[in-house]
Amino acid sequence: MASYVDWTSLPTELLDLVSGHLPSERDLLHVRHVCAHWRASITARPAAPFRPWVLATRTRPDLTGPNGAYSLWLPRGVRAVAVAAPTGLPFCRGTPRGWLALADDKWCPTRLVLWDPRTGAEIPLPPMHNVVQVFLSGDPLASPPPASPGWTAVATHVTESMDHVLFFWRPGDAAWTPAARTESCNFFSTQNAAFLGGKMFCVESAERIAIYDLGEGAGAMASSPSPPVHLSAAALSKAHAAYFVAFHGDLLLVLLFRYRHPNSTRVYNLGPRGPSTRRPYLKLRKRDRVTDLGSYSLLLGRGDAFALSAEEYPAIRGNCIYYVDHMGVRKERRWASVFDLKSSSVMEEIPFPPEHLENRDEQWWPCSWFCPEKPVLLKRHGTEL
Amino acid sequence: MASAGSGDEKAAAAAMITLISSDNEKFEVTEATATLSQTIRHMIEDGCTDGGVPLPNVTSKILARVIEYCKKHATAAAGEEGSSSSFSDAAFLEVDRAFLEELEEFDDAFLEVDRATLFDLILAANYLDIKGLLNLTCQKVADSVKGKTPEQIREMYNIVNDLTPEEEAEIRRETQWAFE
Repeated sequence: MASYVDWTSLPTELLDLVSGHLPSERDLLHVRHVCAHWRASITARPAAPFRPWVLATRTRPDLTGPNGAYSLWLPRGVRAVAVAAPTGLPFCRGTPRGWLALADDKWCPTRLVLWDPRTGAEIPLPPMHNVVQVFLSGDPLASPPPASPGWTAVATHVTESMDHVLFFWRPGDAAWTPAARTESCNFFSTQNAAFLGGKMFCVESAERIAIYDLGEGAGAMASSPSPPVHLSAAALSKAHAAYFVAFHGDLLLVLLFRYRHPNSTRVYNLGPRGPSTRRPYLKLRKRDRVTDLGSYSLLLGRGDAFALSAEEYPAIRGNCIYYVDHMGVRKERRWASVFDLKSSSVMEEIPFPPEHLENRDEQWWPCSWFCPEKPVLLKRHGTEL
Repeated sequence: MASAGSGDEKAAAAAMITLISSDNEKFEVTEATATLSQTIRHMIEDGCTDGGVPLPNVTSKILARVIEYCKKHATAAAGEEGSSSSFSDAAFLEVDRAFLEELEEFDDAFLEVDRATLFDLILAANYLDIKGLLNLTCQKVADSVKGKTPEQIREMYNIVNDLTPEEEAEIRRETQWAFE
């Protein structure tokens, strides 16, 4: 090298800037371990030593209605994760795409806000009463139209008769627009939806799925979401829970068989376009069964389900299903279960942390997985761990 | 793209600024190029650029590279302004996309430098307050340490481990917690 420079002389604020670009918590710990100057300079610390986290709710998860106040935990529920969340918004209405949908009231919020813990960005949504779950079809921070198709927020709303109505909202809309449909539906208690190729796939009831074309597009190409196409799905009725997951451009359907023997799971790859709508029913073929996702694992809970790679997220193992037990029965209370995809059997049961059981006032119930896209940093002089 | 610019752009292009490096080399640049640096923009606004802008913290070798970056990105900024009025035009979108890709390629090639140059570019970007370049260079350093152990990082950047035994113990606790 022609000239020698002393990297320990890089000014503090620049080292701090560099650390903001690091992709993982482990990298952050490593750069803080290099030398005394780097350690003193890099003040940003990860909010937790790894992702993903479990989002828990104060009250027993409600299968059809909104949940109570929320908190975030490391996967086993033994250590809480403190993030600098906006104040006055104690209720969480979903964990879409690494964002939190937060509300100031359980039933009648006057504020409904999307918050990104990584950047601190906040996007207000029109408040709506009885919102159960909020989804995003795309990342709100991606480039705006016309460079990208934009994004749609989708909310499930529970009616007095305990049915669900879907509402859509796009940036610039004054209010939520109810889905065009002729009958109300009873959203399955997984409250799950996945987005792929401009379409939304949801498990609507124990025996039916719904597909919406969101009509996203640039300028004049955009239209309002279509009425849903329904497919009956008898296979779902035997499952304890069912989830759609978008995985590398393909749509996966995961069926969980729980509280019966044997506990097992089945994953089907429905391809890049999802199930065929030529027939009025969902056909699950043996040859579409998936037992090997390589280093990837699927994380399932209420709302968004997603895939993470064990190579990027050292806290999880590959080729597993991480199921946070958000609709468990009282007798068999578990925090989470890990299924091995290859054998489709339970590999590990994560028990309810004793501190949540012993003290009823301090009890939290696991609800969803949450994974911000990048490490969430706390300044050393800010919120202490 | 610059040749298709408006009359205003041509007027701006006519205004030239002289930058003077620490080793007294003079660089003639357009105002559009120079004002990518917030530091220089403020100097122009304060009207103290007559007789050239001395930059005592930047060598001619580094300044030449910084100007190369600013020239490319100033053209990009001009292109964006032009496109905002007719953004629904699909053909224009294509041009825009191609240009952004080209810019990305330029950035990648621009960062193919040794670690000493990278270090100087970070300092220069910080001193001249060029946000894009500072982001780009910091990202490059972050990418270079990604997935590396502390020992590998020390080797790469010629850093001596001067942590005290107490600090080492503290770090061990931190790391343990991370993988418990």
